[in-house]
Amino acid sequence: MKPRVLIIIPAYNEEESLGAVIDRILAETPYRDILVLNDGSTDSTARVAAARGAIVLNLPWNVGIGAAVQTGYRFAARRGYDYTVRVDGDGQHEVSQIPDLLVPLAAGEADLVIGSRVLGDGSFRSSLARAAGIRILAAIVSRLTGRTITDPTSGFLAANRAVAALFARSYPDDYPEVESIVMLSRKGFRVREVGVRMAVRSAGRSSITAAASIYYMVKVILAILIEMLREGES
Amino acid sequence: MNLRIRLISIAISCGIILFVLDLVRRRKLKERYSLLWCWMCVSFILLALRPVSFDGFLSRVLGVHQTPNLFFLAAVIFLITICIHYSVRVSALSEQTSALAQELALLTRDMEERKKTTP
Repeated sequence: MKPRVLIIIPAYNEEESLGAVIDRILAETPYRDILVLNDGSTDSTARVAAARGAIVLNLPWNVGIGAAVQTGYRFAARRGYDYTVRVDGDGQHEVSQIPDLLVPLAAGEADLVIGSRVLGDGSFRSSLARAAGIRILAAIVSRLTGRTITDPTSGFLAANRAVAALFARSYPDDYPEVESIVMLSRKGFRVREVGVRMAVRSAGRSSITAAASIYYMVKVILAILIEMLREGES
Repeated sequence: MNLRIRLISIAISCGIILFVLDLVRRRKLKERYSLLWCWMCVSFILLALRPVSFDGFLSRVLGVHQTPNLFFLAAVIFLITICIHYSVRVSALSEQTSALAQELALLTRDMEERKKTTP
């Protein structure tokens, strides 16, 4: 039997780019279950998604990226999807590579697969500061988890059923990616990376501005250190 | 400590207690939170009422030269504690509101699908 795959797209005011992302998923991949988490958008994000046949969940107000993504995992867990793939709505992820992320899951070699921009073909362009931030976090996460992780901030992620079930129960709220990787590895899940090419962003910019990036680094490092202090409760 | 500052502290504490109780009466404040403030005011009244000798003793033990500073110390510690307590409550509340928002989004979708299948 073919595994059921759910594509999760968190979207906050992404009307300009979301349509193209969904169109490309429909054109370039065999997956048809596309879930858009409309996180209190004030533009036509929901309409753009619904018009293309995506399942739209409208959060009543802006709950932030972590809680929005978690809603997607809850949906996946309740409806029994085998794999979930998270893709950003701004068009930065090359959706034709979704099947590549699913390969290690299907082979039973990993529970979570990270689409690493660092391992990719070098199409990932970022500022010096951002690259340095990713490096620092990668070094910390690699040290803590005992395996090499090059891009713990990536939002291009594929998860199997067990990980989706865990995320449905417990998921960090803001800037969740790095913390969730440490959490998974602490609980004994296997995290693997696959190199990905980056597409040119079709609209919008990183949600993290220069001023916020310092807060980002401090918050994420604090969060993972605290995650290490937690009991291994499930 | 002189009599005037004692009377002023007692008057202010009584005023705050009355204000807090009125908020509870008008259902603007829950009893459990009002208790914290009443407790603070009562301890301030007790501090203002206690005998001078005790006053001197406590100040000496804590190394505080002027007794009113004891008040400030006690007040600052109390306020910081209460602020931390509120941060904890706010964290719990934001967790709960986002769980509600998620559930609302999921249930709305379920309902719409059900409507579509059973016309």
